[in-house]
Amino acid sequence: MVGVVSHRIMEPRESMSPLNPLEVRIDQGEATVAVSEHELNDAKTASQLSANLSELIEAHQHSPCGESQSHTPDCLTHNSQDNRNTFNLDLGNVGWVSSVGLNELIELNRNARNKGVQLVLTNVQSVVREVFLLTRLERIFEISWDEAQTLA
Amino acid sequence: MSAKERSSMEAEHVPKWTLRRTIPSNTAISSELAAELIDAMMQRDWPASDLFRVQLAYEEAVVNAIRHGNRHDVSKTVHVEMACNDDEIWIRITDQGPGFDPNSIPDPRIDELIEIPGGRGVLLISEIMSEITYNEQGNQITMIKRKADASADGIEHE
Repeated sequence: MVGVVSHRIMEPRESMSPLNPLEVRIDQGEATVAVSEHELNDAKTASQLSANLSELIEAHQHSPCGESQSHTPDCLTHNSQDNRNTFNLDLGNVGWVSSVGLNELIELNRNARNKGVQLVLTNVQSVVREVFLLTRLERIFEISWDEAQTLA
Repeated sequence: MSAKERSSMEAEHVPKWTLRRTIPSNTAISSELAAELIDAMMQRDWPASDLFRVQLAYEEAVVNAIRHGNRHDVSKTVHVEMACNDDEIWIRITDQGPGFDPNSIPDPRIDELIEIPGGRGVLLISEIMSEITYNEQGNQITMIKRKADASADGIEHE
C-alpha cells in the first residue's frame, strides 16, 4: 500500500454544471493552474476542461512578456523562455481521479509536449498518486513528488 | 456435510448489509448508491484506503454500464446489487447493453498504449478488486473485495 490514504467520499456528480473559470497563477514566468476534481472526473466536463487547459498552455507559451497577472489566456505573463516551457497543473483540490480524468490528463500531457511545453503535476494527493502507480502512468507524467509526499 | 453444517456455513456468508436497486442511466444517481456502500463499510471498520478503492472500482463499473453498456439511453436501466460484511464486499452491476468481451481490451500499461486514452477503467477495477467475473453476455460484472487483500498493495515494492 502506498502511504496512508485518507478517505474522502466522492460527491455525486453535478451534471451539466458550467465550468468554473480557470485561474492562472504566475510565479517568475511559470504558470500554475488548479483544476477541479468534479470537472476533471465528469465525462460531461472533462474534455472541455482539457481543451481549455490546452488553450492556456499555448497562450502561455506564445504570449508576450509582461508583469501584470491576468486570468485570460491572451495576457499571461512570463519572465523567461525556460519558464514559459513549463506549465504546472495543481492537483491539490483533486482527491480522486477516475479513468475519465486519466484520459484527459493523458491527452493534455500529449498536447503540451507537442507544443514543446512540459506539463508538471503538482500537489498530487496520495490517492491520486496510487492511481498513477496502478496504471503506470507515472512513467509518462512529470510529477512533483516532493510536494506530493508532504501532503501524503 | 449435513444440512445443519451447510446452513451454518451459509449463515457465515450472509452479508450484513445489502442493497438492490434498479436505477436509470444517470451517473448522479449511481454515485448516491456508492455513498450508502461507504457508510456500510465504515460501520464495519473497513480501512480508509479500501473505502476509496472500492468506491473507485464501483464508479468505474457503473459508469461503464451507463456509458458503454446502455450508451446513456434513458429508457435503459442499470441493476445494482451490493453486499458488505466485516470481511468482504460484493458488487454486481448489470446493464441492458449488448455486452462486451473483457478479454478484447488490451492492457493499457504496455509501451504502445501507455499514452493512448481508454481502457483504464477496467484496469483499475481489476487492480483494486480481489476477484472479478463477467457473465457470458458481458453485460454483467461481479466484483469482490476482501479485507486485507493484497490487491493494489504491491505497487510499493515495484
